[in-house]
Amino acid sequence: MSRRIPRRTLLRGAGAALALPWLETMAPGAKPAAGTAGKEDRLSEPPLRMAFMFLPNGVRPAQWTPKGDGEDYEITHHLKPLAPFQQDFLLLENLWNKNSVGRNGHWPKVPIWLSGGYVQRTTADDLDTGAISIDQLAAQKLGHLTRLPSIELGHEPPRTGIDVAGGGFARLYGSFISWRDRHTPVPKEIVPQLAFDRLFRNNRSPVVSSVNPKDPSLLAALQRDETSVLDLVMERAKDLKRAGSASDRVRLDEYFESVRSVEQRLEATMRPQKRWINEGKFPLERPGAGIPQSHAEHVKLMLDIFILAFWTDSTRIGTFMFGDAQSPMDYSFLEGVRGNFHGLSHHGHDVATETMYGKIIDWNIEQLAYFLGRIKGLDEGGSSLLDNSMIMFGGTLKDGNSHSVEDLPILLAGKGKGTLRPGRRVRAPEHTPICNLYVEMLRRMGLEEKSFGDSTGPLQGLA
Amino acid sequence: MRGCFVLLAMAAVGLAADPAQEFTSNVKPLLLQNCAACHNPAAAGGPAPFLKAANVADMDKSRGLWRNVATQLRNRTMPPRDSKLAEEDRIRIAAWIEGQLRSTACNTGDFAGPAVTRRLNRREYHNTIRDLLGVDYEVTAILPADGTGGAGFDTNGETLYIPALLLERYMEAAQQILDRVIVTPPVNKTFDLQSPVSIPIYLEGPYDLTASYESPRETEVRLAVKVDGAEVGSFAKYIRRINSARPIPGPAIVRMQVNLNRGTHTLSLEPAATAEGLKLVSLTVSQRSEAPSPEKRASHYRLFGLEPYEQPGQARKAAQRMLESFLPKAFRRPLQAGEVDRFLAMYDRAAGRGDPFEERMKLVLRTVLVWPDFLFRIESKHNEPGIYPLSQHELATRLSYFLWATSPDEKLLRLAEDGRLQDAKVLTEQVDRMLDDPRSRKFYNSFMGQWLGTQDVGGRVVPLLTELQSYYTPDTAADLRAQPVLLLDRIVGENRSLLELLTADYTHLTKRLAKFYQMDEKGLIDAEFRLVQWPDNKRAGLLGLGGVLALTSRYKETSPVLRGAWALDTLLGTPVPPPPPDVPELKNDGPAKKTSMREKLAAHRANPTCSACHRLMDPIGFGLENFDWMGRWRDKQDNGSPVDADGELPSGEKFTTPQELRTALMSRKSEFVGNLTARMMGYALGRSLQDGDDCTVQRIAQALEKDGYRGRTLIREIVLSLPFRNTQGGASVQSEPTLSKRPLSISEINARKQDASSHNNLVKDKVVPKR
Repeated sequence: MSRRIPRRTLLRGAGAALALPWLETMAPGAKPAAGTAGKEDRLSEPPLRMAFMFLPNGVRPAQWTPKGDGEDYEITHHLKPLAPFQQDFLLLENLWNKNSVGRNGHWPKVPIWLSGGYVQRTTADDLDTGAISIDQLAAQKLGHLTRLPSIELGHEPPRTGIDVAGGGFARLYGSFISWRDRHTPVPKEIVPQLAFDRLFRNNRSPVVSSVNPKDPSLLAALQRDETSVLDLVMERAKDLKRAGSASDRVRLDEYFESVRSVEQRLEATMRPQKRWINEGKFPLERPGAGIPQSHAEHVKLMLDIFILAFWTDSTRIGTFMFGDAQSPMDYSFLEGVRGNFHGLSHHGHDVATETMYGKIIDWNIEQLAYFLGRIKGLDEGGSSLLDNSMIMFGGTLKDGNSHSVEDLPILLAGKGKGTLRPGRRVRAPEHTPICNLYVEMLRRMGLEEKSFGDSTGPLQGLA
Repeated sequence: MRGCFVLLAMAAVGLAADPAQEFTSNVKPLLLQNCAACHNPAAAGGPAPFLKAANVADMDKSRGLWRNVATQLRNRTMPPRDSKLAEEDRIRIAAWIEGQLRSTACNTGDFAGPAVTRRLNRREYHNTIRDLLGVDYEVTAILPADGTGGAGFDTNGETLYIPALLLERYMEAAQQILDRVIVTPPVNKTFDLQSPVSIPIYLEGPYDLTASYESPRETEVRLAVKVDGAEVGSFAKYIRRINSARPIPGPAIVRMQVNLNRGTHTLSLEPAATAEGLKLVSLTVSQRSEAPSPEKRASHYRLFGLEPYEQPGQARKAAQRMLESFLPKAFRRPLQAGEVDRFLAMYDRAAGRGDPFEERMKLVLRTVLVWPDFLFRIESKHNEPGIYPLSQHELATRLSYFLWATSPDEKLLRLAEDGRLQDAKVLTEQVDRMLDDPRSRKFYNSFMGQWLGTQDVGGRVVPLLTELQSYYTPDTAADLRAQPVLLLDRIVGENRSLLELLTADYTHLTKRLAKFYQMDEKGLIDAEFRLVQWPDNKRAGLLGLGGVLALTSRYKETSPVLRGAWALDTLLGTPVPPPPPDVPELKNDGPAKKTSMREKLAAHRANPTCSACHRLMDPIGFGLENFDWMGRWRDKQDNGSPVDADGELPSGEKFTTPQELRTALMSRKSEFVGNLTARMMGYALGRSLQDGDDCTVQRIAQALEKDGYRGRTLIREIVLSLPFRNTQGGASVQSEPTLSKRPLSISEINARKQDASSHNNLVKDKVVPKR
């Protein structure tokens, strides 16, 4: 009745014998070993997951928006890679963020994609996006149910300086779509190995999970060292807060919150959480250190880790950036493309340039197709991971060349555990706040919010 | 010198005229005309009562408000879009207000600015760990990059966030660092298997498991090995039949290897059902390890005064002594009473469960490395208003992170302990000592790279493309990044004039760079930079460097607008207004190649709304058109016609060469020097500059003028300045600690209200054009 972990898996690289719950999910046809996670620790059905995936620099509107008005539509050029999944997503139209209107460039639009806030033009002495993002609101309320409250992945490091010619905003704004509160971005992981480790390494479960967590020997165990360290650190942080000036308090507050957050996370791993345990194997080895040379490999690896995070129920909320705002990612690795994403997005209707720009978008949609295909193929006891998710994909600009912000390119993939009816286009009334969609998504996650951001009501037509 | 510079010419004219006169006859009437509808000065209350100022002296009473007015004018947030205020007037008035505020900066008295609690940025963390523990730890692998914030530098405390993710990283980094610095004796323990085996594993890695058992029969024995309840493998041994009658003598030994991670693990051996009479005797866990390297022996010794594996006589006392000498270095200040005891509590925890001495110390030191006093540069606060000198140690810390990006060295610490550092003469000596030390290169590198933006050349910006590899490789990109750094190094090192940043007729080249610049490669090698005179006056100073010119271009195309904006903002500190949000697309008539750059940008001149700002930027850019998109010299444009580097400034000044353009810039050297001073001050102080700092900037700029603008003078003046050596007491912001409810200053509140209403107007007016 015991499970077999191939020795290879353990001896690979620096991969060490990890503690129990991870082993559970890695083994094929695994069942929990005797004395470990019992029935009461398992959910009876898969949980609902929520993801937001961001594409910068807009699209070519004519290649995105289908002709006509009806629910049925013909797949357009940009959406071609998603043709096999046409029945699995909703094409949403006429959504926008009114606080993007009349604002220069990319920086004041991207940080509010998920919040409907308003980005202040500062020289970054006080970043202010006006509101918390939807994923972080959900993470605050639901994040305690999983090992990690949420996951944020991408591939570009944060940018420096103030974009003077581009509106006078700090470029830092454009690197984050997740905002813990209006002032504080949530950093994204771009290094595959670190993202992978974060899903597992932090899991320091007790020696034998059926043992009482207050057992003295357990309290003294190495696994509990981190929490002891953090306890001590918290005391010091409290002292400093008391003694500090008001301006200090912002930074020390953040430190204090971070200490508390990490401690809570560690404590949570000690307690058995009601988790969904998938018994199939998701074949992903621990990635090597550093960032892969090839962008294609990098993106694919980060997408795999994103899937793994959902598959292992390490978290149920995530954001993914296919590029930062105004991404200057060089795409010359694509056949027929010479230049960088942002540069090519301002094609000025030069045919050759516009074609290259289109190719970049198409390639990114292909990566999305890979992702959807993967999660569609993962069975969670009768339903697929895609069925049990709500995956929003899109951006903050419609026409990348002219920076138009109406009728944003947005799609919502997945069945939301039966609460969504995909395979159609949903045309909201003109100038519908995208926050109306978020209200609906929050409701499905079990959070009844009367409003969110600048929402005017729930978005109709999703079910 | 006949180069006069447009906007600044206008501002200069404004300033030259009597400010009181200018205010009363020019500025105030225009503001009344355009703003009084909402900001009625006669009304009792009302938003932003700047019009209540009756004369120029009144501006001093509400400086923050007036600064806000200038910012709103520049950003076009006020007056709202339907206003009749011309673009030209907008810029002129904003510039006048800013100039006026600058020139009266010292009216408000001494200003030292608040102390900002600053986390060590990634670079500083790396250097501090290196100097404290002797290990060169690869931070980029584990710590995310820092963004840059106000003042534009990654030394700025305002944007050095410390999210939970980062804290997790610091904790993990601490473990990895200490594993590299301290030698833990390898584990080698034998257990008898009568009771469950529980073993603490300190170091992740390969371990040998050796089991001995007795079996009465010759039989295949299979033992499942379980770690923490999960099977990790099995011992299998075939015992060959020698003589079926004779029992097997003695216990049999089997071995296997398993990777174990850090933690306390339970091990068990379970025989398969078929093994009858099998008796498990013992299990040995032994760590595979190598002898410690010389570096590790040295770092271990440096911390403890012990050789690896050597145990101290009285362990706890040794721990205490070690902390008493280590903590002041780690926290960069003398210890407070009872501080060591907190850490000894960690020591006791590990000692209580039987950890070896080294592991106890690792737990203690891990705590130290995530302690706020280590991760943050904390400066004492004063609640009463006033100016307070920094403590000796706080000053030593500021100085060492400014010039060396690391924690204070022995010399600085000793001076601080002796209470001698706040003395001007001593400080000056220390500045010279530190600038003469090669560690100052860290400062030049991070300052120049961030100030100019050249740190990204060869990465995100000016990426490496296969088609350019005949003259632009990763090494060339590195060399291009180094050029501005070496320029500042020379200027400060030899105490030359900072104006050489604009005019230097020399540069530093490698063989690769000579190839890039299409120059004579004779006498140059790739391994080393050599000082070289530019062969002609085509290039000089920063605007002649390939890194800068490539940075300010688009892909395969120069951009006079970007270059102009860069020069204005980066070199002269003139804020460039952002473009209006609904700029229509530039029409392309015909294939792009036929039109010249000048023709393409003709629309900028045609439309008065556009030309107001563009005539400030475009001429500079045109003056640099001889440098192609990679910064190499060209005589012909993309469309084949000769480069037209002519410029005409609104005041009528003409130039035809980059040299003449440089002359024009030189005539505004006071703006350049003021800007450089402000930037470097922002870098050194780690916060955004405020209104009161303008006084210090002025003073330093004047000192520089009297002293030939020497490099060392600037740095010395910054270190000796009031804001660098002191902090301001009293609460400028009311107390309310939580993050999302951080209170706003009055100007911020007003800015928000006005911004909000102006943008609401935009929406109501349906600005977004229909497509």
